[in-house]
Amino acid sequence: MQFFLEVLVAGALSGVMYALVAIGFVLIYRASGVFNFAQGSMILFAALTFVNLVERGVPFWLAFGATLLLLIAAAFAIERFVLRPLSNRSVITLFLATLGLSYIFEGLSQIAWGTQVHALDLGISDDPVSVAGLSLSSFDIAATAIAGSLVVILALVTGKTNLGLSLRAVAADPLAALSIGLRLERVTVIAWSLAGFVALVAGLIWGARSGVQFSLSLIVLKALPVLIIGGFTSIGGVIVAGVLVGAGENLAAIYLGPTIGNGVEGWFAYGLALVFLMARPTGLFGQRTWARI
Amino acid sequence: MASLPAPISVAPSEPPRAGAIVLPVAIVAAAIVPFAIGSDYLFGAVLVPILILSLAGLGLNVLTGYAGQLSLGSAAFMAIGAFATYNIHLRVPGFSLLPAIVAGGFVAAAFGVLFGLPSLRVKGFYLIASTLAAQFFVPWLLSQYGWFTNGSASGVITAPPLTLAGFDLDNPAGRYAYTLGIVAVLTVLVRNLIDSPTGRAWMAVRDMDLAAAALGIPLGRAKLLAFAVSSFLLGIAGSLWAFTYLGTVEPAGFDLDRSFQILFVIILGGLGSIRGNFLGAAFVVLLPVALSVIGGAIVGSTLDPALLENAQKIVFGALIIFFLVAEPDGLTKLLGHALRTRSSWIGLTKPRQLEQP
Amino acid sequence: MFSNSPKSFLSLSAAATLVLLAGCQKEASSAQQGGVTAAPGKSQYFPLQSYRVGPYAAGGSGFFGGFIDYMQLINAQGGVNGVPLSWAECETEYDVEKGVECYERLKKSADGSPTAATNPLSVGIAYATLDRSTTDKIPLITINHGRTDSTDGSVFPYVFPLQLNPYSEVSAIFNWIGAKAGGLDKLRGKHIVVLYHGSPYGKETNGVIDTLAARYGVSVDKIEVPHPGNEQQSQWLKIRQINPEWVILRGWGVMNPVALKTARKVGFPADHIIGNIWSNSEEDAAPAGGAAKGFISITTHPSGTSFPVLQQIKAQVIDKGKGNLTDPKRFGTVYYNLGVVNGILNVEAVRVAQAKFGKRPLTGEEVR
Repeated sequence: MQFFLEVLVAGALSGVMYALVAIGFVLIYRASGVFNFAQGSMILFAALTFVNLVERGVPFWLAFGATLLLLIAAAFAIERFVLRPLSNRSVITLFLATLGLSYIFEGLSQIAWGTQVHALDLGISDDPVSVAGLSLSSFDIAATAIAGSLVVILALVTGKTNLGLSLRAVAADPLAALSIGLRLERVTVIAWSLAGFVALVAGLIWGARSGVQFSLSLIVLKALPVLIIGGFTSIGGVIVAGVLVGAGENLAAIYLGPTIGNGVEGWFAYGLALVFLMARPTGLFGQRTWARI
Repeated sequence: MASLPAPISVAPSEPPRAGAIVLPVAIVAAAIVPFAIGSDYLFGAVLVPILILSLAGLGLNVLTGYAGQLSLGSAAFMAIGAFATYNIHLRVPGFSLLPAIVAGGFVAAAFGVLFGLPSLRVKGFYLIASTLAAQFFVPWLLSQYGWFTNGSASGVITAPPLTLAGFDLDNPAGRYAYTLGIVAVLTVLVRNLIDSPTGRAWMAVRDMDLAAAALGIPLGRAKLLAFAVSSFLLGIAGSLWAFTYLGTVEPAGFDLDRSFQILFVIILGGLGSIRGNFLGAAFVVLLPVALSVIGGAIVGSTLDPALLENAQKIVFGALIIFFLVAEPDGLTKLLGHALRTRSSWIGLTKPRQLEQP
Repeated sequence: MFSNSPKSFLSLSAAATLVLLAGCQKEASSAQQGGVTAAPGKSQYFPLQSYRVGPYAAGGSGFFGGFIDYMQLINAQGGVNGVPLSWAECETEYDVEKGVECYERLKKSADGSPTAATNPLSVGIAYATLDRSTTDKIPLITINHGRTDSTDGSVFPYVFPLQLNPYSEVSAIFNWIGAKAGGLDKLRGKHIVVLYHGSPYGKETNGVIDTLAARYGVSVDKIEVPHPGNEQQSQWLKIRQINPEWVILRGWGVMNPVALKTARKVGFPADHIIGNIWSNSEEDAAPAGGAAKGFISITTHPSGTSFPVLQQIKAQVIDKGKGNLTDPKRFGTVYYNLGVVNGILNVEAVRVAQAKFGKRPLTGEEVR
């Protein structure tokens, strides 16, 4: 029983880290209706830039700020050269454009910073600690805390400020928002910048967890089912979905693995997403207006 | 999201008779020209993969370009086709390779219907969950159970020698001829299918599904049929990939990157176009080769290969965005423009005289 | 990191080769500019199916960097008995299909120089090009990996597994564990977990492991990590539950540091994890930071920069700005040195063949 609980909780904690990646999608999707496949390579780009700056002796916060500035510059460029020319095009066209973007991000980050694996030490211990009799990873607990505070900050920013109001207005009805004088481009840039910020945080945590290298861009594949289960529009939803996916995946790998085979976690999340989709086509907390038949 | 655009925007489909002359001419040309100038490299590493990717693009285009259902799992159906063919050829007595390839296509079609079932309930973006589930589940299944790979410890299967009616085709030119034959037959079949009521039902589902339903088109049946036909073509493409191109295959070879590659074939070539698949496939295969040759020629051998490879990635990404922005109807439209340069724009009503080479 | 494996299994021990070779090298004649300046058709050509981007770039760029630098060195010293070496690279991203494309593109050199051998450094690509190599009569060299059955030259006459093949590698690890336990007979009843990469490479040894486990009475659990391996939570929770004496890590690329870090997270001691040949580089251990402390791995070629041949490469290639590594700090790392060793073995094969066929560029058939 104790082992079961440990598996459950450890899975749930790593699920929060999937959610951290998925939040970046939600921010962009809500503001510009774009399903941004490049979020994963933005994480790679952010983490590689940060770690290389730090290795060259730049202090932590300066490196953090500089990386963030780069991501904001990228947000401007993306809005200007990709999203604006593609406005009014179908969601699938926009999605495909972000696939192209992810290629560009991957190429750029590896040209600029090379392909080596970098260690990243955030000063968080990764020794196991005992919580209520369960042996858990202190790193995962810290990462969960960071993700949790990020969610609170984002919820405040998008909920209580004028900025948040305009983000939501654009999400609710772009044409109406335009007609009352909201500048769509600005809102888009802000949303992509926020997503860049989330990518940086996610990149640091994932980088500290598994080393900063190319595979960071593949985390996006773990975030997709989380997003589908949680709904594309709800930050709270993806957190819950992340926990579900993380815990379910871990349990499946431990308890289903021996009977049906190793490596179940490669597809389990997608199977789960499919089941949820059949039951609730708009995701757990997604808006109900999404097209269904 | 208050209002959503139509699920997908596509080129106005090619006028039905446009290819009536072009297609046979192209097939004849493809059957003659390469043998006059061909080298092993041209056959083995350029033409055969272009043909196979064209067929795969054709399969995805049926589903995405014509029936409007987005799929990110094309490679999974290729894998099913390849491994079904392998096992049928291996285990069922009396099946030579060609019937086994066709049978493999039918197995892939069955799986296509299975993974297409969610399309009856969800559509648009959420449907990618189903095809992605296929994408991750199928290679796992194939590598997990030794039976599929006939007990090969590492999950890699080896193709049987390629023969047809007693002829030994186990050389680059032979492989090309074999591939060309299959691809040509299937292309003609698909073209006629698109031109039939079935094809028109698909396009109706794509362009306005509610109206299509109101017109009495059975939506569910049309979608599942599109999944079946698409997967059948992808399955055969997968078999050819394994047996006439690589000569060997592992489940991991049919990964998400392959699915993206096929998606790029149809984006760059043109959604809802038959000719576009061939243009797109040629582009996808030749661009990396061309870039590395040009890059090497400009900078010489001192060029860092990693730099070259990453530059290639950037160029690829930028081109995809460029095409989506500037020419969403793809290379096929560009080619159309090029062919029309001297005549004025007449529109699509008299395509026959315009499309002649 | 230290290496500790029975010498008997390392008949081609790289360290020995390095020393031996350094001894028989003549003084440098420095005239050579760049890689290839020989007359067309007069060099010995190596097609390189390298990978410098993608998830396994760290391994690929180190290995091929070392290989190329060594060939630069040989050219700087006047080639192999006067025959210069040439090469061309093609990026595979560790992807089988690209590997085949590269094989076809590169198998013939641009200037007509004969091809010596291919070295794909990928089990998948090696499989895919196996039949082609035999048809084209180009030796296929697999260093520290490849099919166990290829060691028997009669099955695949053009395939050469260098140093360790999977079988000898696994038995080396078993012998080492046996030695730790006080003899192979003491292994009975012990529990070992094999954590392997979910790829042809990773699965290659599973059969051998079962055989050896049955022979020594060891109970073995084999746990797969799906490619690329950046998430191993459940695997290590399971390992902790099984609580084996040893974990054999058959990793590749990012799977290795993640394995070490995750082991630390669940509290499994690193000094009971044994890395195989492909889990033993600086790139594998360093990103794991403190979690790698005590990690054991077997190797055929120590890392370090003090070997004479590496000093020569430094003096004659790298210090002249001809080095292949983008990051000079990686000089002397395990993958780099493996590349150098691979270069040495390839070049020595050419040298041996030249002794038989004369001092000229040789065809693949002759190199064999």
